[in-house]
Amino acid sequence: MEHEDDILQRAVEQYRNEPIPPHPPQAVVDATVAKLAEAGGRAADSRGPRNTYVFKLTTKFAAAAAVLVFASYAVGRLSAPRTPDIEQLRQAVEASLATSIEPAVRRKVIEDLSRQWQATLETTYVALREDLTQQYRHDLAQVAVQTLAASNANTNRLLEHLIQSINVAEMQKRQWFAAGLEEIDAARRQDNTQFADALVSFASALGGEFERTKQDMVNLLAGTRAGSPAPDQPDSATKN
Amino acid sequence: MQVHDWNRITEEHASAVWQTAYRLLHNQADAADCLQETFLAAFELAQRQRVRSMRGLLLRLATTRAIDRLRQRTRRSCQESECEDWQQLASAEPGPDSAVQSQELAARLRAAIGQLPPQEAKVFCLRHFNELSYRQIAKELQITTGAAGVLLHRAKAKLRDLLAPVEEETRLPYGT
Repeated sequence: MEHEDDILQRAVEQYRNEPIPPHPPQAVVDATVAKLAEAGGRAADSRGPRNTYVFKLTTKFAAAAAVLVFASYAVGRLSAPRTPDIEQLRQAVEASLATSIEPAVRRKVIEDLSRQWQATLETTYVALREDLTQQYRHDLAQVAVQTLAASNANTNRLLEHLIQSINVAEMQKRQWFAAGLEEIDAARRQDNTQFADALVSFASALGGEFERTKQDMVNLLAGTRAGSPAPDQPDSATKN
Repeated sequence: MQVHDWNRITEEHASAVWQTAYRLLHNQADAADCLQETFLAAFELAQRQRVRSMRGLLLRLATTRAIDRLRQRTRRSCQESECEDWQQLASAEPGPDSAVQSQELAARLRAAIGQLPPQEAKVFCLRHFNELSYRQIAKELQITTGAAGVLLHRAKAKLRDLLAPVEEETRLPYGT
């Protein structure tokens, strides 16, 4: 039992400690107030005919009371042994009516009017607040749209400038690249020319040297044939 | 006939009604609906009869409507799970930590309140969550103070029965 008490107690404490938003969203409160005002307007509308009915009923009662009083007066006059004072009786009846019926009717009418005024004022207040809220939201939305449009235009302008700058930079880079290629090509051509000239010089020098070597060989062969050198003495023939 | 300033009443009591509804329903949309229904019901009631304590009336109406919704929700979840007992849906595995266990405990208490008879649930909620006295509860529910005590006792007993499997799981953490 103790365990059960513990778990119920713990559950209740945990339940209480769960995070709860302290206030309802303002939109919910506003919607509730609007619905209450709407319900108040409906109630006031439905009270209107009833109030009229009460007023008519009161008037009828007053008329019936007056008729009854006059009828009583007439009966009394007819049956009375002597003529009563009509003026005095009329004043008494008027005073009686004024004291009994008129204040009640007046109070009732004032209460009804004040209730209707209050309901109407509440409805008007809520409607006005709704209108102002809608207007405010509409204005905010317009400002947001205009700001967004201006921001988009500015962003587009900046992007165009950026694209133009990139194009210009690419063009300059291409021009520099082409100039570099031309320079490399000119250097290559110059190197080719120099290399060809060097080859020609080398070939001519080689040709002269070759001629000289050939001449030396001829001379050597001629000298060798004239002296008939022994096969075992090549060194002496070579030296000569 | 009483004349009420409903704008002032709404501003004054909206937070208490909201907290009452939200604590029971734990769902923003349902709590918002419950708040609107509560104020409209109070308005209609105030047109017909004299209201002695607007706060008490609003808390009672909010609790009643929230419990109705909670019961509908419990019934719906029962139907969706083909009337399987919610107590059997609990995992046999131990909770990952005590915080999760506590959250689960609160959720089970919410489900258990949804299974109570409406009058007992109302008395339990008004007593434990809105902290009304027995006399205030009796006045709001138009019952005697003794009847309020009996209803509260029954509600506690039923809640203990409904929460008992949780206690067993806590004592046998591996479900063995």
